[in-house]
Amino acid sequence: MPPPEYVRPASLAAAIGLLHRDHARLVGGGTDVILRLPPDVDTLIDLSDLGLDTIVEMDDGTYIGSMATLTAILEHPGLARLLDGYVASMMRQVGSPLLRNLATIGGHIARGRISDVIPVLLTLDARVGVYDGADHSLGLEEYLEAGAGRSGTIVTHVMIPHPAPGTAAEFLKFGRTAFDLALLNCACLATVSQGHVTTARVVIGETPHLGSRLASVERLLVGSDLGPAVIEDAAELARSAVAAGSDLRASAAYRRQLAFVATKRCLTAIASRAGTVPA
Amino acid sequence: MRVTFTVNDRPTTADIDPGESLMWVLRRLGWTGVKNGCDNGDCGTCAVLVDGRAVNACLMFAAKAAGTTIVTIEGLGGEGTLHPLQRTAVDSGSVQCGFCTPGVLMTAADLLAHNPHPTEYDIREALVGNLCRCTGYVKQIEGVLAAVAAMAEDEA
Repeated sequence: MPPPEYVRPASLAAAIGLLHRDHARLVGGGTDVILRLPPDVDTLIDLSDLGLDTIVEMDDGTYIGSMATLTAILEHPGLARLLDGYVASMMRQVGSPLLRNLATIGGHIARGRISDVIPVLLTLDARVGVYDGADHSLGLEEYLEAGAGRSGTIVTHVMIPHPAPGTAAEFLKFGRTAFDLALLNCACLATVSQGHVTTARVVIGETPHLGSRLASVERLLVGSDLGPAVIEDAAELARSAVAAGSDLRASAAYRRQLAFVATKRCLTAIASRAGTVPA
Repeated sequence: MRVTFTVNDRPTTADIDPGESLMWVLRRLGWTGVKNGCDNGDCGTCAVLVDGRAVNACLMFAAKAAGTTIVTIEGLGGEGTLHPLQRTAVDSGSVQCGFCTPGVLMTAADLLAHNPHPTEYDIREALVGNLCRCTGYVKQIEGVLAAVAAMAEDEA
């Protein structure tokens, strides 16, 4: 097979045109593509020349260009302040600095599997900007659910809405080593107003499935006082509600126990912080 | 295809396969301080600086490096002189087989360029992607801490 063509289009329209070739692959950081390059790939489309690497705070939220590296996100001062360093606390546990210096947020989300990033973004109600010839914006959950329907689109940005006052969040990852993939991860967020939870997000991931919201646990938390009894109930519910499976990393039973512990620890941490910022 | 970049201050043009990694290209150019430990992004022995940031060269398309400034271990020190990180690596006894050392030092160089006063924890966090089979990491971390002190003294 002839080697692929490596191109850096100067416009999104040109990039989409190339993507419609039968065997094209998009290159963000390229760290996944380079390891799993099928022999029939004829075009590698590098998105580096499209100006998609900026991180900008706007009125409605923070817009992270899809070509921003994970390091750029980790080091961004505004994102470092967001919810007492919630995003940064997760990002420093993703891979290694070597990997983060190359990997892009857009490439990571488009991959849509094996992720500590996606659970955090789901709790933040993140939105994804995509281009398929025209610009569209959709919720991250909707984007992930599209599955194979995402082919032929280019992620242009991720948007994190500004959290409401009184919001706190916590991320936790269990792994064997500092560089390992998660056995299980957990991202929780709550907004507390006048002593009661008004918004709750609970995402447990690497179960081994990609993180998804536990709606039943969230419903339990909304309206509650986020006290120790409620937290204990929520953690027990997470234990049974999580879609845990066994794989080479961990057994389903162990993951259920991790889900209980992670939920309890995250919510306890949140309870001490949420509501302290006046609504 | 042809790609042009700067390696250790030398403008370089190379013929490459569009699908190949920077690690293979740099080694073919003679920069064999860039080690091939796993060719999978798991060990860190191929770490080089690209525009000042340490990356796994095996995970970077060589074509992606077009127009960049690359530094390998051979270019970390000056002509005939060792970088403090290299000096303290030797003095701290952290070089056993030496295979992981280039990757460790390039990663540490990136860390110190962006955080000149790291804590021991910062150094440990920075090195999570650099595996070592020989040392148990203790002396590597001591070596980096000693380089931090030496470089701070040079500044003073």
